Amino acid sequence: MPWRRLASALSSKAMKSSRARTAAGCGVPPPGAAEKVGSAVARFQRDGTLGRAGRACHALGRLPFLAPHLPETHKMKYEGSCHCGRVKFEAEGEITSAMACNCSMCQRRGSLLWFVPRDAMRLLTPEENANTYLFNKHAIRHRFCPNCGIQPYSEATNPKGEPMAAINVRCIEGIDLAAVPVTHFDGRSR
Amino acid sequence: MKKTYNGSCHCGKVRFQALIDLAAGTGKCNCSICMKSRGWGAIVTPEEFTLLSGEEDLSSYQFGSHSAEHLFCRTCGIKSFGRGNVPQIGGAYVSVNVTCLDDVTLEELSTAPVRHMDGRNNNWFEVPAEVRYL
Repeated sequence: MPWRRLASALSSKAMKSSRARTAAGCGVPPPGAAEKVGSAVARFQRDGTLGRAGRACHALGRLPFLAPHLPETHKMKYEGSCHCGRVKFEAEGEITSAMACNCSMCQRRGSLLWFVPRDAMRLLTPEENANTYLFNKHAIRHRFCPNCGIQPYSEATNPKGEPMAAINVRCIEGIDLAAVPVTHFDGRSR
Repeated sequence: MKKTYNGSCHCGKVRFQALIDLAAGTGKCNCSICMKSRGWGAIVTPEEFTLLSGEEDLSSYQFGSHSAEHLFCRTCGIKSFGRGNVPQIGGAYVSVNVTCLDDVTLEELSTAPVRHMDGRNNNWFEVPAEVRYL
């Protein structure tokens, strides 16, 4: 499974923190894991169907393998919010990596995105507490707090049609952000 | 060298011009709101900043000491600039989000010196112990 290889290959830095060490629990990366991860990334970049210029962020639909379909026993529960607390959520899974994108939206936001199945994220505040911003193909619902402006998450469906959430891990409480491996995505060129 | 840049939020309702010397330095901070919005700003005087459109599209958020106006576009939510008054840095200022500059080059952005501020510990003029995620 690509997610397992990705998690293993990218977790060496994360495993330096006790929280990440507990979370990773996958042992050392298997031989050739990094090459297989590189291959998976290249395949998604090559076979993606959304490549085009303009103001767009395709990352949510293009990297579905980042979704952590981990066994229940490996999942952790995280809580997060915007700045003022009008939008709060919890999410279950493992933050094995986060993605930084340079597209017109992500560059301005500076978000570090963690992709989870939408049903792994539960809003603790009413759905209507977050505004929605759409652009380009209106494929991604960028959800931001109308009071403080912070964007804790976005929603979309992946290429398989599964509802996903891209959570901005900067909005998650109590994690060691410096220990989260960051992958960079060239959304601006697509 | 100071140069006039054009900037905007994502949807384009908020547009501005600012006279900025990126080579003179930019700032990133680890305070509670900069953490969530990856604040990356260049400080200019109010005279060096011209809002071309969107005053009525801006929403203002304040907290803590209320010394800063955290402004964002009501439509797209993007924080393209903020403003405030802090005597220690010369009084009234506008902090421009450098990632909202439309005509900045990648080289200008990537070579702009970054000063990190430990806002989280109310120690704004010191560099925090950890800056990798800022």
